[in-house]
Amino acid sequence: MRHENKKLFVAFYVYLLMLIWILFSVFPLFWMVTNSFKLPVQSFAIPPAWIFKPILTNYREALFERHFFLFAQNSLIVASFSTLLVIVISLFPAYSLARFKFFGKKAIAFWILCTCMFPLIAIVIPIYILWNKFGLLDTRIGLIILYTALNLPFATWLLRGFIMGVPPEIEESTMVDGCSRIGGFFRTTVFLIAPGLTATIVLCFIFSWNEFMLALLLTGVRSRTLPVAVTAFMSNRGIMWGQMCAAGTVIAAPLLVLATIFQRYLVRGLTLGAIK
Amino acid sequence: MGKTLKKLKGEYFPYLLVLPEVIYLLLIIIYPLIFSLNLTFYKWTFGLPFDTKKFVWIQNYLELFSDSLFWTSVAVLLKYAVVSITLELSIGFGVALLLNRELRGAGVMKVLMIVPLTITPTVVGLAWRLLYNAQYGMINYFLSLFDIGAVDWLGSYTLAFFSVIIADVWQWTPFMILILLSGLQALPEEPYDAAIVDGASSWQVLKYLTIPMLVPVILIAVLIRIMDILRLFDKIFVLTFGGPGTATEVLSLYTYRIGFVQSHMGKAAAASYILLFIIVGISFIFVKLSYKQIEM
Repeated sequence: MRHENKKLFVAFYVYLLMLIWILFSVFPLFWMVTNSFKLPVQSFAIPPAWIFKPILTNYREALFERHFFLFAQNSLIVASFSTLLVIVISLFPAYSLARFKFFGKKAIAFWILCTCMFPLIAIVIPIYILWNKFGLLDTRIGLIILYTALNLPFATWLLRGFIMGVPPEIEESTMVDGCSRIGGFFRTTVFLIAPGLTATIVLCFIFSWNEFMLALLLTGVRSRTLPVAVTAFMSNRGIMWGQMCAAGTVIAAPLLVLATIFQRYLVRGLTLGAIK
Repeated sequence: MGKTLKKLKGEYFPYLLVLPEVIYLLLIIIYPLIFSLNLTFYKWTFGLPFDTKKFVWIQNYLELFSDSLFWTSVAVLLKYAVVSITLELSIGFGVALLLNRELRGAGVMKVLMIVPLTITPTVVGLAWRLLYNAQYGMINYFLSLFDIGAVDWLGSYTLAFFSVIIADVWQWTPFMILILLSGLQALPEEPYDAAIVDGASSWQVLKYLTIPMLVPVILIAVLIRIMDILRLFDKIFVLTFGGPGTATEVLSLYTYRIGFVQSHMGKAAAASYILLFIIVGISFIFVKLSYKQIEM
């Protein structure tokens, strides 16, 4: 009996702690979203306005008066194309590093991983000079090329791990039927690693969607992306809170959707990448 | 003839598959890095034609080493890394232990946990700025309920540092939780059964079983965080822009200011190389450490 009570007691505290952590985790975003529907008077009301009549003025001003759709289009194009390129380029080396035995394999894999270690600020200076020379400054292509390079090591490493999780015999059985090795890979293993592939795609997309420093320094008005655009609501004259929250909500919304739908895959991608 | 071709193909094929990616990385990452290393030995004013650069040997490095603000930014960065990773690791470990029992709603918790991880850092920065606002922010409102007067979270020299860290802990602790949780779930069960038979207390189990077995995972999680945190830029850019004064100016932000605001590109390149060396050095130590641990 006493034991039962103790168990209940522990369970109660575990849930309480979890509840506190979740409130802490959710509140900042919750507050940003609610503020995007408030008039300035309401956002700054003390005590805070918990119940209020939602308005859409902030969205209208943030989205329609500041080229927001152009920036959203830039973000979408840059993130999608760089993700596509990353997958197309990294599938082959990932397969090679997972399946073949060859001289220098370990060194190559390690070298690829090391290329994602350097600080971004170290390449943004030379890239600025080079992009200026080749006319790539303030273009989407310029960003796509860079984001692809930044995502390649991580994607290769992840995909390699996922491919290693599939026994090679499956491909070999298709080779008997006259398929080439690579053909066998695209007929069988690719489907078996679909969850891992999805995780890699989503993670690469999120990274490109969120990247700030390169976008800040290498783009102007034409190819600016959303993470940079949102900072434009802060000026010397003050911060346009309502509009900034509206823009922030719109930027975060696709991420929330992706995180919810692909939650299981993402956890696998993040942790497998770390543990393997 | 046909046979040798096939053999050659067999030998070179794996390299052929790797080649495009290696070339891509050499062109877009390694070449600019070498370009930048060369630039660290030049003086070049941002905005002037690139031909106007002047070779100055190691003067850029000497200028950095004699600049107290440079040393401040290195100190802020290292302090930031140590404090935030310690917090993220300890809270993350605690929550992971809690989640590692049969808990109802653990799935929902995982979803809610992955959300901060995916949110754009600049948006995280603005959400926290809203909360930290000295006059109207929610944090000060909650404090006022306990009769605590308005605190200037981002404007005070000592507090700003911790305020930025709280936002970081908010965003990245879930990463620690998820990694440690999957590490915990991958642990073998036999040692635990044996420990229960031997009558070990749960504290002893944690100290002598769980933590030692989890060390490799912890080291890797910390390494990933270190590499990410050392190049921190976006969140601080939005939250404080390095201020007040230089209280939160980390090395990346210092480099940005020297290069893109004050136009000393050579000096900025040198600063970015020092950051690179710090990251490589610390990562190297960690890789060594984790190999040792895994071998044990």
